[in-house]
Amino acid sequence: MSFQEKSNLAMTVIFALVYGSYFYTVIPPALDTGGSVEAVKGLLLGAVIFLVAGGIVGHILIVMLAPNEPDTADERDKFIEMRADARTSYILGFCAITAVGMALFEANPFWIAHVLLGGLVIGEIAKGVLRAVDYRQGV
Amino acid sequence: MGKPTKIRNRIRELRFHANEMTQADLAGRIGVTRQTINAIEQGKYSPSLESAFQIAEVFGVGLEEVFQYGEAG
Repeated sequence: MSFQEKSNLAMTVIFALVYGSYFYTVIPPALDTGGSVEAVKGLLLGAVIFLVAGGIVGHILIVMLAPNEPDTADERDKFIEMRADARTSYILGFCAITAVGMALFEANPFWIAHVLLGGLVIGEIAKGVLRAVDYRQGV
Repeated sequence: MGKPTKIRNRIRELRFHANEMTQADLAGRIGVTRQTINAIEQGKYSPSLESAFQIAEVFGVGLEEVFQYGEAG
């Protein structure tokens, strides 16, 4: 498994864990109370910090386990990246358009922000999964 | 998705005849990872035209001696 493949797996798992926990914590109470951006600012910042810290720790571990593995992306890595981008870009696009629609109807900013964030998270996880499949099955 | 490419190759055989050149050696000479050479050998990835020419050049043969297109037969 190349550095780029391991990096993709690590970041996909970290992304899913961090934002899975975030949405699991934030969404159920918001459904009851209506949701407030102010109330989740700390959690949102915490999720970003965990994501960055998890990414750094994950990549340090990957390098420690295979110190001689080149970390640069070659043509296959770039091709797999482009394929995944092309197949998942519509997810964020769909969520962005939904958020614009919600803004036009003056929806709660909490839900507008979380539709956008959800689109980003689902898009990134889908991208990571598609990359992982392409690495294993071939392109 | 996941279907093997129709491009076949003789890289494994050519490496054998080049003093058992390793995948890592070949990868280093054309600027890709060992995993990419492995994917090419297994028909899981079709290299760019430039990489294909570089691979042929490493073995000192023509492109068609390394890569063939179509079903094996």
